[in-house]
Amino acid sequence: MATSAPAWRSPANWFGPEYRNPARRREVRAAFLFLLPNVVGFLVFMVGPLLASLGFSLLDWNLLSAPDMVWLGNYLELFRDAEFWRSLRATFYYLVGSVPLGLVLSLALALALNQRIRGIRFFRTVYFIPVVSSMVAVALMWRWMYNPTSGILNYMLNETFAFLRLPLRAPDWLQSPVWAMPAIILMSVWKGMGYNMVLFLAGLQGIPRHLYEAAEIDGASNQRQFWTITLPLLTPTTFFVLIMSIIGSFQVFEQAYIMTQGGPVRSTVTTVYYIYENGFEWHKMGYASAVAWVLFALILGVTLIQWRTQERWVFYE
Amino acid sequence: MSSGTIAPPATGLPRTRIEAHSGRRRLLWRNVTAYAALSLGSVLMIIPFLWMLSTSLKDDRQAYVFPPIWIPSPVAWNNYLDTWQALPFNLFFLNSAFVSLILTVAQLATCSLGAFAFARLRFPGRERLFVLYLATLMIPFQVIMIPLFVLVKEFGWIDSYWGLTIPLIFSPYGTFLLRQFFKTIPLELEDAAKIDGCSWFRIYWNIMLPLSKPAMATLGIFVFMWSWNNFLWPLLIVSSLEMKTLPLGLAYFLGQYTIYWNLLMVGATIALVPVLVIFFFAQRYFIEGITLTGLKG
Amino acid sequence: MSHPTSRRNFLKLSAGVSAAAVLAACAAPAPPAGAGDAAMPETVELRLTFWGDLADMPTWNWGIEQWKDERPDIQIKWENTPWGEYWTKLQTEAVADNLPDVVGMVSMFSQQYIRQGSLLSFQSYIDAEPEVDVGDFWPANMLAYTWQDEIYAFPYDLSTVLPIYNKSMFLDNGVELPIGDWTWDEFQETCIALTQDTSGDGNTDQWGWLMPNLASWTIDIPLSTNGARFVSEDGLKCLLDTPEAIETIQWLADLRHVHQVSPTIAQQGDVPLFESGRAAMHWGNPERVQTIASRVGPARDNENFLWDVALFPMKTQPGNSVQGGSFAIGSTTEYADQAWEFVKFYTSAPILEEMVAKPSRGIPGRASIAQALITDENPEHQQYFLDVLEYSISTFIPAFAQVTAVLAKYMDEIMINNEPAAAILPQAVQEIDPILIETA
Repeated sequence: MATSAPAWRSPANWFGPEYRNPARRREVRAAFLFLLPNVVGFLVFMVGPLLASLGFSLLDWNLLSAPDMVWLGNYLELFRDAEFWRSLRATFYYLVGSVPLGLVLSLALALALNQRIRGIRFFRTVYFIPVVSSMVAVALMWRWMYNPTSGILNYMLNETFAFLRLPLRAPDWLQSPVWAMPAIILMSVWKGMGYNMVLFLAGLQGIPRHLYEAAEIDGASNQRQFWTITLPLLTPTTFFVLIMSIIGSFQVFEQAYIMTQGGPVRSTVTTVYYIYENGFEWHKMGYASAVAWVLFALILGVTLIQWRTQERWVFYE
Repeated sequence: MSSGTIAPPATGLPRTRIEAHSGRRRLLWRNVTAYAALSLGSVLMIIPFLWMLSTSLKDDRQAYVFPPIWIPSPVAWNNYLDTWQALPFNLFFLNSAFVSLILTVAQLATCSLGAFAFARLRFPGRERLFVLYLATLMIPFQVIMIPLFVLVKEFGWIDSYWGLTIPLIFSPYGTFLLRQFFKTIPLELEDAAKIDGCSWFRIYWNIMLPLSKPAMATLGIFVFMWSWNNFLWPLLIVSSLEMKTLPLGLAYFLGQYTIYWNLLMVGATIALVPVLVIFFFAQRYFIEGITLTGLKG
Repeated sequence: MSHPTSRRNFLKLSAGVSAAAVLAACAAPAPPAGAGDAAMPETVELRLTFWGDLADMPTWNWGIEQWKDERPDIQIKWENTPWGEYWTKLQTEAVADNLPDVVGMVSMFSQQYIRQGSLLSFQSYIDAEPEVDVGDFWPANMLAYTWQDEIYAFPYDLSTVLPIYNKSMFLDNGVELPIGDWTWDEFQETCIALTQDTSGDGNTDQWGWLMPNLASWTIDIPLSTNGARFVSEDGLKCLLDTPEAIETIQWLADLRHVHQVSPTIAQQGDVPLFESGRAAMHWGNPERVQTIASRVGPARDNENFLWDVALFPMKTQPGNSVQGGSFAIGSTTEYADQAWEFVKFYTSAPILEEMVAKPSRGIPGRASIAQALITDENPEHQQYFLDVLEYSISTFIPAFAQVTAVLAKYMDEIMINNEPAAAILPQAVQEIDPILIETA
């Protein structure tokens, strides 16, 4: 190779000096091959449609007649759109209500189910039932259970209040602008608890037993063992669960779609529900896409912040 | 099913700290509390399903009676037969099983290959590509649904198993999950293999995969469960009755004005059982072995 | 106005931007050429998309069977999507140029689909075949299917809405049966008399009236009985802020809040309170007559549960509203002629008589066979469904879905939050009017 040739001409230099090593280059080639199926699928079935939706977001388009290019018009419009802000508030309400509660409950459940007692597999299966059942059927069933005039939940609650002579009445749940979102959160936590429980159980299994044995010898109480061993060593799992739960909460849709249709008084119109309304009911796909991209930016921002702060609290061996 | 009939999962394993260091009395007391708490929790969790099961065994009249009754009388066993015969549920069942199985196997393959590269191979732009990959999780499906449908239609995959499976095989979630797990496997093992001159594929196939059975099992059941219940995409792709999956079949019990509650609950129960059975028997392969430590970015 | 080609190209371009290179490699092979040539080339298969749930599927299938005998060369493949997801799927298929040949349509959404170019105009066929007798379709509803003097769909049914009442409950409580015209006040008194706490636990367990969801086309029904309407006839102005409209909605709200004779709309949605004997009056179109009969038995059969239909109570004039279902042809069909033949057959008098009129699936789309709706199986005053057509009004606007979503928000304020109609409805008008003008 001529020494006068600029260094960037040689492919060996493209990736920086460490890739001059042939073994390194083989590694890069291997990585390429390993990633090939993913990358091809990723490009075709995700990036393609994603770019399309990014393109839609610049259009005033009812999906069928010729679109008008409005550039950032949709984005400017949505900042003035009270319904969009309302939907963001509803989404945050859901997130703040469901993520911490779900996280704490599923961790507690995992701790309780991380024992070697008879029938533990049965109990784990029971707690996993909501996870494996179809969201459509389960959400419908809860809607019925929540029904103040014919649902089993209020019937049981009111009977209990009457029995205890408490001057209380069960709320109207999905028919009340105040209670509708808590009702959706309650149902969602019930539905999703078992999912995170499995991940936490897996994490608990990964904590080396000898650490506990050493702590026992030192005379550490169970409570102390939990705070000094279990919780810190579980943080990587917690981190994964937290990131996924938050992403999932930002995208909450089906519950509202099936249980409340966004009502009452649009108190349960989440952002994805608003996207769906715009795109599929009102045929404003351009606007729907713009809302989706703003939501995307928001989720990305929140996730990146979590990623950055993980060093402060996530404990790696 | 009584919990007492189930043997403890691993009699041969080392005894836990509780058993090793506590007196029998304390152990007994602990077990009683544990059972009480777990049973109470289970009842709370399971009430909606008891209601579902109860409704599925009621005739029309009983299903809507108020105050509600828990024990149907007479028990309408024929609901199950009626539901099964009202629609070709045999076919729905087979379609769901086939599609879920294909998706599970295919996702495990693509995700583990990708996760291996992201976890173990050094290549330029790795972190950036991974973040990009993860970012696609954050886009609501509703907005890419239409372009994806258009694309799949160009491929001629509407109303086919191709359309039901191929676009869903590539999963950032699965890749993320497996990558986190692969990162926990000690490097020493593969260093030894590298010195022996093993190819990267051999390391993946002979070292990574065997050590990752629990993680693969976890992802497997998640994927299976998710595709078993997937609704929106099959709804768009499938047009023929004989291509429908179980969740699409269930939707028949929601009329424009009425919900056929008892039949819907029959369908939901039928749909639930297979995944539950898989979970019950498969849990020891994953719960008792997976770890997600080492989530270092 | 619409440029399907440019749209198609635009979509293909955008969907494939980054994937273009890989597309070719992955694309499924085209169907082998010549495979179908040897078979009968004149046999075609039409795709028909239509909702339809378990109860009426057999009926629609019966019609398809009749067609099979008539034209074995034009096969029908019914792609059934349940109502809840029908419109999402239809819109997606429209965008992808994958619309079925024959499309089930409803009058409330038809203007949207016609104007966006999804449906094929029937006009050239109608002009060429006068024997189709378009005049036989109820004229009231044809407005929904007409745009710029061309017809785009043929109705199979029409819906008017009447109170359906539990006659046994009326008789048991000694309440006068609502026969003939009655007033808001009489209606209100009846509701109050029949709203009861039968178990004595302080909760109402028998309701006077299950109010319809008013954030929908049904809002025109009570409005019309007071000379008001939802949207002006030209579709450009929401009229909910007129004194008559405010009075009507406030009266309905009072039925719920002051007289407490009606649960909220959502409260009645999940289980059939009427069929389980917990409500004296329900509301329904002829199709509800069919489903109620399937649950509690025909109206005049079950001694313990006799039921009938009544007229809508009126303030200043009798009123009602009409909407309905229809069949149209997808604008991208390759088999327009065959699809036309099928739609013509499927909405012909003898077929609609069997499929729609006799089982009370709806008021048949054709006036000439309407009397077939009156049978011994059906309620005694079934005739009312037809009688009210004479003065029924309707709202047909392209942005129907969006406007009713806005309406729902304000109706919730009134019906759930108990805000006064006089304060809320002008706000609704302010939000609805710009949408009407923008989409006109």
